[in-house]
Amino acid sequence: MAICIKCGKENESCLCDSCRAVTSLEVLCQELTAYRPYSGANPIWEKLCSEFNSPYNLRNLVFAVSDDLPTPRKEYQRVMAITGASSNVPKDSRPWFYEIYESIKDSDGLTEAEKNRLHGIAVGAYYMDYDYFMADRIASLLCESDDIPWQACYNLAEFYTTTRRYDAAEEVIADALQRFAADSFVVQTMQNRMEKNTKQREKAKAGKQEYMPNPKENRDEARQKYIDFLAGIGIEAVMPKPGKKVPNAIPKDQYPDPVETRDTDFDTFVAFDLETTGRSPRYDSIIEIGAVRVVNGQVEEKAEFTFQELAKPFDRRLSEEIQQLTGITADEVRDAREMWEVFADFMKFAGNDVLLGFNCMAFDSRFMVRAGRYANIIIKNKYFDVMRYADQFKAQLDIDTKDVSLAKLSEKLEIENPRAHRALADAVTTARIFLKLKEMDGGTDRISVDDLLSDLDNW
Amino acid sequence: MNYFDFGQVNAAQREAVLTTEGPVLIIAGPGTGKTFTLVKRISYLVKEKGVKPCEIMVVTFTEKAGKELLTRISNEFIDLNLNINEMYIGTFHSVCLRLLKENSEYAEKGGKCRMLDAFEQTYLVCRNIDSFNCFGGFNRYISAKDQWKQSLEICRYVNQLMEELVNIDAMEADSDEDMRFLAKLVRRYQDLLVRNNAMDFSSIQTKVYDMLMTHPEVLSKIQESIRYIMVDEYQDTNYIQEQLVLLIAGSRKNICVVGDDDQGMYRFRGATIRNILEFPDKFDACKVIHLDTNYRSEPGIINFYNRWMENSDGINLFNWDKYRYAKKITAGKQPLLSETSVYSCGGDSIEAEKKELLKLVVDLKARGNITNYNQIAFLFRSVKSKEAAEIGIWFEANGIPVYSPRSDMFFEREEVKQLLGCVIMCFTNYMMDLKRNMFLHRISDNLRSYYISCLKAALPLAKADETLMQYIDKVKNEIQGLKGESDFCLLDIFYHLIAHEPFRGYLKASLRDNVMKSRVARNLSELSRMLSRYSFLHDMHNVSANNKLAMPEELFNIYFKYMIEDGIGEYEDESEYAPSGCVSFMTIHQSKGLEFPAVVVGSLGDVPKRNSDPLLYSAESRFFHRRPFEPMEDIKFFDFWRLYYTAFSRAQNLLILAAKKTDSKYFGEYLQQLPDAGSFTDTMAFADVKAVNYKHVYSFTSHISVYDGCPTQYKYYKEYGFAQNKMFHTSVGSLVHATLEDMNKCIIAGRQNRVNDSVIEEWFSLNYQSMQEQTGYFLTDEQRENALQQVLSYYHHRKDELGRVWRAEEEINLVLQDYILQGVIDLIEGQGDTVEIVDYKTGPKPDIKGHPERVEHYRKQLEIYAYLIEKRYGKKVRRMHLYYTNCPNGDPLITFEWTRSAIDHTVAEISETIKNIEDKNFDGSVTNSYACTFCDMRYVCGKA
Repeated sequence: MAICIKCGKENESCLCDSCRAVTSLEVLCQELTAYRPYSGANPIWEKLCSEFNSPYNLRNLVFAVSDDLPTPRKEYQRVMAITGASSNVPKDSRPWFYEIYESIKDSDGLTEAEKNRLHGIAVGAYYMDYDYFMADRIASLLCESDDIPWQACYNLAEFYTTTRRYDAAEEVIADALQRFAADSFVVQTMQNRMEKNTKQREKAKAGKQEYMPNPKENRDEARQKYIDFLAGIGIEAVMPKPGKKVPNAIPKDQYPDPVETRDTDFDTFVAFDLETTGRSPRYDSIIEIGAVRVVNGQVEEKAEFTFQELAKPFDRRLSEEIQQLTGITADEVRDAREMWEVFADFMKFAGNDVLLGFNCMAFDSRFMVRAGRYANIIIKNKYFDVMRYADQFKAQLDIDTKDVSLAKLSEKLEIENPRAHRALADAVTTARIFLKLKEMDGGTDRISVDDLLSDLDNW
Repeated sequence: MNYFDFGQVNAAQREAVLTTEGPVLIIAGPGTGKTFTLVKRISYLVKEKGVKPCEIMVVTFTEKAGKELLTRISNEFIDLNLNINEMYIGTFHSVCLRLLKENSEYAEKGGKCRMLDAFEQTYLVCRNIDSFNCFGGFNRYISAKDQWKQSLEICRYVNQLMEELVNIDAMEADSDEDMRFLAKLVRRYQDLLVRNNAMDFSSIQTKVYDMLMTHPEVLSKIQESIRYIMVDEYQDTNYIQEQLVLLIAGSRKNICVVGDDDQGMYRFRGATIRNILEFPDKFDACKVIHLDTNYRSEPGIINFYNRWMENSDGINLFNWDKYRYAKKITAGKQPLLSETSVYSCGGDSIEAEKKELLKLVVDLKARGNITNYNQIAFLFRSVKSKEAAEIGIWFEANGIPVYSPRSDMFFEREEVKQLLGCVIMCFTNYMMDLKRNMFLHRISDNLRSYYISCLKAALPLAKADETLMQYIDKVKNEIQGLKGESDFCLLDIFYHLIAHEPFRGYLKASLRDNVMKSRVARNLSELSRMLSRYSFLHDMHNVSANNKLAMPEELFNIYFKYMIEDGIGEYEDESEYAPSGCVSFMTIHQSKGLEFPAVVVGSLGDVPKRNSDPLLYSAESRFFHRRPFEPMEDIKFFDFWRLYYTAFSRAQNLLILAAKKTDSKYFGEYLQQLPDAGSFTDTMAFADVKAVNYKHVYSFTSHISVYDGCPTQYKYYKEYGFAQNKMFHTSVGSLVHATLEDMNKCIIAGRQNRVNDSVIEEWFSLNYQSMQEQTGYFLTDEQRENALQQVLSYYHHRKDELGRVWRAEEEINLVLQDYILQGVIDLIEGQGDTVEIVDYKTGPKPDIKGHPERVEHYRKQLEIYAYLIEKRYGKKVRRMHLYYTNCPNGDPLITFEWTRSAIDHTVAEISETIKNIEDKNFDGSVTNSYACTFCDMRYVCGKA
């Protein structure tokens, strides 16, 4: 059971007969397309919005409402609904759009402005599909008209910027700014466009890499099309050097879980720490590995006992916040090696020793798994987590926060950490904390169940 | 000529029996003798039409129904030398599994995958939820927030799309992102299955379907061999099941489907009523037979539910239109009661309701209407509902035992908490983590409190029993100090623990009492299986320095966490559906096909709920092979009416509607018209609870010899089903057996020239691989080499005689008066009417000079096999051999001559053994000490 979108009454189809009699279908289509969900302007539509997976799917109703419109009005309204405010056709709908566009672009049932609007959309769609020649053909056609709607101007300008014709883009924008000077929204939008154009132009001047297509699939093919097109209009562009190939990673469910130990019967180990772009092992990336090898309980910060190297963030930007926290700058990591290369060297350094870290079970080991998957190295070392270990000394050290932190522990144990939040310094601190705590440790190995559970009632 | 014994069939039933050729639809209302008719029809096919059992396929809704049907059919065939087990009988899944096995060379990876049950399927998804929740819009499509529920939703989508045979490629390329999302779920899930070499329930059917579609030669072979198909409960079948039936029936179209469109209630699993409603339209001529004479219920009850279905005095919310076969059930039995037989019982609130219901039950007993509480069943939409729980607690508090195995009480049981507590105490670090609530795999406060309560249940036990405390401390310290591998696993700990009180006492419950008495022991056995499955799923066997931290944490914080969330049902005895002395509480769905003298229907506060899913609905409209059938807005009413119709029609003598007068408008008028249960004064004795007639299958190796070895061991492993721990000593044997089987099958197929050393090695390594995947066990290189050598030397030793193979790995089932005797014979050799049999032994060959008793046991085994062959094939067995494959020097054979008297003697002996088993006589102790060596219960018995 549907409801009538005009009056809200239950009805077989989306428009009841009495409303249908007094409603202009085209106006209704336009209203639906233009409607802003959550604006509250139309309570019936708000309700409909809430029932869709995405509130913007309200526009899909245009497909039903327009059913009774004649060609090409029907098709035109549908294209408008698909593009909405953006003037872009979503990738999956483009084949459909091209078909519609070919069938109605010369139709008498459309005004000049409407045709131009369609042309503008077509320019955007074709160039986004890397068919630059086609986009350019339509663009030239479009430029012959004096009555280009601003949306089409926008698409046109964007196309020109993308194809490195910054002057042409500027011209289109200037024209639009002049013709639509009264509409502040258009002015704002076009000015933004202008800014982007200028930025690209400056990049070009500075000799930096200008725009280059970068699709996930068939990248080289798309780039070749781009370069060929530019060559055709006399602009030389070179194929960028192929980026580092991302190695095939071991699938996640095939990689063993990190193995933890809580035995403390070792005094030769590798204390390590990672700096990362953020907290999520799934999305974030290692930017630094620092480690110190401790032999027979001796911490020596000599070069042969330490490991420290930055890594290039993988799939992720280095945020301001992290730069602040660690002091590692975006420039520094740009030239660093890939995370899996650094990791491979680190694993050589670590050998088979226990990997000792702070909160490493919940945090570092998960990044290590990701690095291991990309480096195709299975980590067989055991981890020892000093944070978990330290928890049992909270009372002794007079720490009353829920979690123990590296800073708190080093303060209580009087260990200096000159460069907190840098991997090597934190690794050294972790090692020192561990050694001190171990001296304090009475051992829990032989405590009887009875004693362990003596305060069970208070758990 | 003998006349076929039709029994007491009525005219319609007779017609159903006699119409053997072509499509037949039998619309069988409740209690109209549907199963009886099916049994007679099969019997008629075999006895009068000369159809062989292996040419008949009978599909039932549950395995239990299949076994019951088999038992009833077998009673028709006693004294006929028929292998009725050759009939394809069981659920769609089990029949399909058999087809896959029989045609394994055509099925894609058929038979070599590990089967996942519903829990394992969800568990697999849940453990890999990261691979799913990274899809764009995941949270928009999957409404659940916690991972387990999300996984359940994913599995529901995947199963349904698979069972509708949806074209996933097309869906993946669709312009609608909703559809692409569903397609991505399916793809990702399928990858997961492939990587884990696993197969789920719904892919059994799709695999058979694919096999039949891509291998016309297999299809025509199956169509040739299966000539008659019967499907019970057809209203609850889905699309792929219909397709399979039509496909296998082929041009013969000998399909007989039985069902009641009014009792369809598995829409949520993808079943569709249209299968039964549109069945006749699929054929040029389809015979439709209505069974509507009811032999179950009082006329008053029948009238009541007829009226409910006609929906005439209900609130007119919907119209059945074309979505129901018009019918009216009539009473075939004289009324037992002089009074009316349908009442309402309740009050204004749940408090009043439970008191009234208690009074009712007490009165029925006091008046002599019932002599046993098990004559009453309470039906609810869910036995986990508040209403069911309140009534259950109230009844138990007032001395009326309630049998409600699916009410999710498992983890609340004292014995379960005690045992879990003891296990936790063995892991120091886990205890400390629990105390500090500091886990890698975090758990909710509720779950943490639960585990603490387990410790609280267990600690006093350890304090009370010094030996228990000593054992726990010993294991705990051993694990804590562990540097490498240990030689024990979780199950070892479990079996040591239950050797102490109070567990040891729990195990002493007599099985001859009703199921409630042995529930505690049953729950412990369930725990043993859970632990065993955990070791396998998490690939953690012996405790080691590497896994000693992860083992308890993943056990409690992942595995049990999801088990608790999923809800674990307790033991249900298949051979006794209403345990004596208890009132049964069950869901309406569970009550399908059952009947009770008195039925109380609860959950009348419920209302019709929309249970369709917009995402699935749009997939249905666009990608299913058939468009939506029933009108979306009527579905909820249809389902509601069918559900309660099913519930009402379970009652034989008395039907009670239990409700609070205020609760549902859908029942409002019905309830007001009904007299109050307090006015019921009849003193007639109600019917007895129907006895379940159930023939068990007994085989020499897995039953008789176990019982002969030690009745107590039989009780634990076979009756309770405790998980067997150390399987290592048997895995070499099964590997040798499996490879020899491959070889013999190849010879039987006429390809003896293919057999050579390297082919044998290939079979061997395939078998090893699948054994590894299915059990998780590994053999050492030495063990492997030894096993392979056994097969090779057999091949070399018997090269010249291999051509005499007649049958290999032959399963024979002999249906006797009280049970079914089964034997799997490794090898039958020879031509003509005289054969010889061989049984492979992989253990060391005993020295029998002067000690014939050492193989006495195996002699019995061979004699039983000889008996089975004689009965089944009418062939005489001349000699019987044991072949010791692990006998590099000397003669591997031990041979016995056949004598009539020896066989008769052995048959008499095993009949005695089986009688003891059937009588649940498990008190005898061990008769040979070898049985104890590998027995997990040796600590419990004090034989370690």
